[in-house]
Amino acid sequence: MLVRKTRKIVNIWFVSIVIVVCILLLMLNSGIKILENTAGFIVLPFQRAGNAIINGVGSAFDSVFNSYAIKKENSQLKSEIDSLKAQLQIYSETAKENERLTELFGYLEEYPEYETILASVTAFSPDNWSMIIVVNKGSQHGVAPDMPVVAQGGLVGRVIEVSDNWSKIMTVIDSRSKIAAIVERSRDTGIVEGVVETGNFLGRCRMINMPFKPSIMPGDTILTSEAGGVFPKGLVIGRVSEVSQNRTGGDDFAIIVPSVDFAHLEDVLILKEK
Amino acid sequence: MKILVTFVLILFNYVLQTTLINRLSIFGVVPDVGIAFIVSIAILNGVFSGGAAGFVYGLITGIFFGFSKASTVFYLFEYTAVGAIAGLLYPKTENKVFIRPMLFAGGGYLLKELIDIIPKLVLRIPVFTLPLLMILILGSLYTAVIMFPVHNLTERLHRFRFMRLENDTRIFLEK
Repeated sequence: MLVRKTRKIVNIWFVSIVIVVCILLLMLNSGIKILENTAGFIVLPFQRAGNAIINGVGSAFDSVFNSYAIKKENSQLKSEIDSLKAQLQIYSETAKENERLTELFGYLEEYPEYETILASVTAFSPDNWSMIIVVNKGSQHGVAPDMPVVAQGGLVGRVIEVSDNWSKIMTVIDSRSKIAAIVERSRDTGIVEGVVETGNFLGRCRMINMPFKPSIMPGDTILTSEAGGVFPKGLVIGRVSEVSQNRTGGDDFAIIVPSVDFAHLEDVLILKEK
Repeated sequence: MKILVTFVLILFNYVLQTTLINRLSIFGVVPDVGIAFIVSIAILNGVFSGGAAGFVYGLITGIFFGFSKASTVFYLFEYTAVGAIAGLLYPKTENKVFIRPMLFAGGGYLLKELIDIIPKLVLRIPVFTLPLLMILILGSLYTAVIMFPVHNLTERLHRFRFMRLENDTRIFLEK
């Protein structure tokens, strides 16, 4: 009985002291800090560990539960990227085509007396001694022989044969092609022909039948003249790359690099007189 | 069936030659996939088939690219000649390496180009030696290289039943 009473008194005292200490500590600022630090020192490691465990387990659960959705989203995004890439490719092709056609149709403004027929190149001659191309427009579309043909850059050649839905075009570099021409700067006239001696090797043409001591030099632009009756005046044939002056009395001639890139020819315009 | 398949392949080779192959030129020199195919047919089937394949290929090329009737006939003649001569000269002995068909394709190209030059010589049109040599050497080498896949595929195709003749004893079928 006495022991019980003593314990009760001790407990009351202990609690009272703790309360008094706590009140005293709370009354002092530094005391609060001590309490906070002590609490932090004891609790924080457990909190961190708990958080780490919960986060780890949670993310594992998340990844398990969300993997299907992520995979689905991933494949969706991949297919979107593919379709965007395809669209971009189409846009880029369309832009290139637009650029090409805009330049091509510039001829409409320069030659209002002509109407144009747009045609695509379908084939190139298979041998090394001629340069004839086939296009996908024929008499059905109003194409007729001897119509001039132009492309991005300048003159391609002329129509030599027409079928219902395709035509043959003899290009300026074909060894049988002959075109009346004029030098833009000096106004010297001559004839531009394909270089038969070399076939398609290097893909050049040359200007012959020039006046005595012509004023022609590398870099000069060669244009069509109306003399032949086939081509309108002023279509660009090419640029002079080399002039060969024959001192032994023979004819002078100039090697011409055509302004049209025949290796990458896709679309051409056939000029039809109105 | 065999004739039909060969005809379709001739058309395919013609389209390939006039579209893709022409864009793969080196210094303006293009190989001739048509020659490669005709020589391949001649090697596998003999002089008559080679000549016939050359005739059809030459006719199609002439129709589309002949400048006149004479040049159409000229195309026809040169391809027929290449096919027939390749079929005539190709030894009927077993040959496991591809060198011989490749040599024949290169030779076929040379023959075709030389036939091309004959009218220029007759008409006294000057032809520069260097470009001519480049066309002959580069073109025949290029055609010989192209012969490898062409002959390989043609030979594989000829192993199918529909491309065989009755009692077919051709050497390449024994490999």
